[in-house]
Amino acid sequence: MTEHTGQAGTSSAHSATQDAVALRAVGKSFSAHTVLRDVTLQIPARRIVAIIGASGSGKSTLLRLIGGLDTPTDGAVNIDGRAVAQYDPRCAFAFQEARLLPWRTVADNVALGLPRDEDRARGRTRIGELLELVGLTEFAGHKPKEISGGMAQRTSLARALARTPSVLLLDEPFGALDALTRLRMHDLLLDVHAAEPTTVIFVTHDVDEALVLADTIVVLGKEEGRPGATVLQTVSPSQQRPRSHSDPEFTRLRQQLLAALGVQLRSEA
Amino acid sequence: MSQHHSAAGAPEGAPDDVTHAGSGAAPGTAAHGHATVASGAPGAAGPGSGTGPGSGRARRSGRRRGPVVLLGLLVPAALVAAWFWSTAAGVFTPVQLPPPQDVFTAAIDLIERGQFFQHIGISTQRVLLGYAIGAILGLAVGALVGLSRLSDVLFAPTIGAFRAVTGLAWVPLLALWIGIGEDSKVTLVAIGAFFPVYTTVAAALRHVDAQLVEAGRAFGLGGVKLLLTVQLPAAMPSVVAGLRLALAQSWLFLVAAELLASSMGLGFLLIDSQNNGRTDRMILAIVLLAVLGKLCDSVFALVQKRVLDRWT
Repeated sequence: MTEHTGQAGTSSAHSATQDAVALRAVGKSFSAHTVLRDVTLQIPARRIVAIIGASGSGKSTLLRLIGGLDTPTDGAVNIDGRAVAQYDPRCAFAFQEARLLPWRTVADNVALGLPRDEDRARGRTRIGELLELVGLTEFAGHKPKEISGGMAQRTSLARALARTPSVLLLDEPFGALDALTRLRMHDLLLDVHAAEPTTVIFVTHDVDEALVLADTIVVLGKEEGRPGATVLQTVSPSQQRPRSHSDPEFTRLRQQLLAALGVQLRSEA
Repeated sequence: MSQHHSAAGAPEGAPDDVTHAGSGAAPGTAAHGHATVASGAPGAAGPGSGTGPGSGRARRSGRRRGPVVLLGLLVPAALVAAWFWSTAAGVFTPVQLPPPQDVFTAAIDLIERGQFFQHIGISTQRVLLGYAIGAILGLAVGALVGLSRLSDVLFAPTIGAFRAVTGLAWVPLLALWIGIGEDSKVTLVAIGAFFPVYTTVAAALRHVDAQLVEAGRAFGLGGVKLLLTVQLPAAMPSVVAGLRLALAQSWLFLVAAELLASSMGLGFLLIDSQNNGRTDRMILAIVLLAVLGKLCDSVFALVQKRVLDRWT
């Protein structure tokens, strides 16, 4: 991704086939209101990409466009060189809220994610593996109201993984969790990615979370005097994971990203 | 219909057993008669959503149901006692209010004549038949209007207008069109059962959590699969609440049907006894209607509890 670290929009479209996700001049408006404008991004396969931005900067909208939950007003979104379809089967979505079916057990909720044509016996094995992966094996028979918020998010993550997606889309998946659960979920996401390296795109408003997890961080925001948000900058930390908060690069990028989001920290100036 | 009107519009109330759970520490405050009152507004209130799921479940299991049921019999027993006392003391003449033992004798008399179970049987048959037809139609039309915007715009105003017509108003017309046989009575009961089911099903399906539906779609569900996997199960508690309401309303409409044109049934017993000045039989008919209606509702409450356990 190093060739894309500068201003997005300057990057060429020559690599459309080797990139897992490619957005070309994507815009999205709701009636007269422009949310996104001229978003061009290329994301190579198996990367973890964070989308950050102030609230209302169209982060979730961008993620929904990639997953085919919404259609762009302008431009094109491609996955593996082919246009994204409505509710694209190549993507799996984990929503901000777990959105589990309350009448189904944890295992049956995960089963909802299985591809429609999945063989039944193989599906069951897969659910077992996924529950193991997210540490919910002993809660397989519980209903959503009987588990904690963190467990529900893990179920939601397992459901998304059950789809064996080429692109895993996570919309602020850890936003509603307490700080400790959140840290555990970060480790879990990295473990999952190591075990099944798919392309992961996640939305967060937390700069630290982005810096800990992502290969590349995309900053969305508004440019002076123009409607709608676009890519302000992309940043790719060189530091290997697990990343230390005290590393000089971490501190430098943190300030850079916060500045891009319009936050000036007096304590760290 | 009017007393059920508001409840049909608000199917999301707390089921009676949850109310029990709220006062679980003092079972005495949750008399069994309460179930009748709450039956107007049963539905999905997420029983375990408040506190810990385990504790809610344990409290709802109703291990102390026996004493609660006995407590619920207190008021009826007091009523019978007051009835007994007032008639014995001569507060009412026997024509105004015959004593309980006269009503009991009237029941024995009807049993000996072989009419007692005939009246009950035919009335029950009319209710069950009409209820089944009305409920199935209510489910179908409610699903149509609840799921399709177009059908909603097309049909909802008309159905709403018909709903405003009281049950009794249909009786002369039904007699003219269908005759005074069984068909017209079953039809009237079906009309009574239709509207609560229609209203709750349509509302429940229209208000299924849009986020759940989107999640279903995002995982590749659509059409009938989406309906069966997400929408119907989500609407299930409300649907069952509507079905329960409809069963209660079926009994109300039954009496309307039998009052005007019939030769059998509890409604007929009522009007026939009025014509013959048999107040004891009139009271017997009313007691029977109350007991049968309550019995039906109680059986349904058990079903509803199971459904709520399963689908929430």
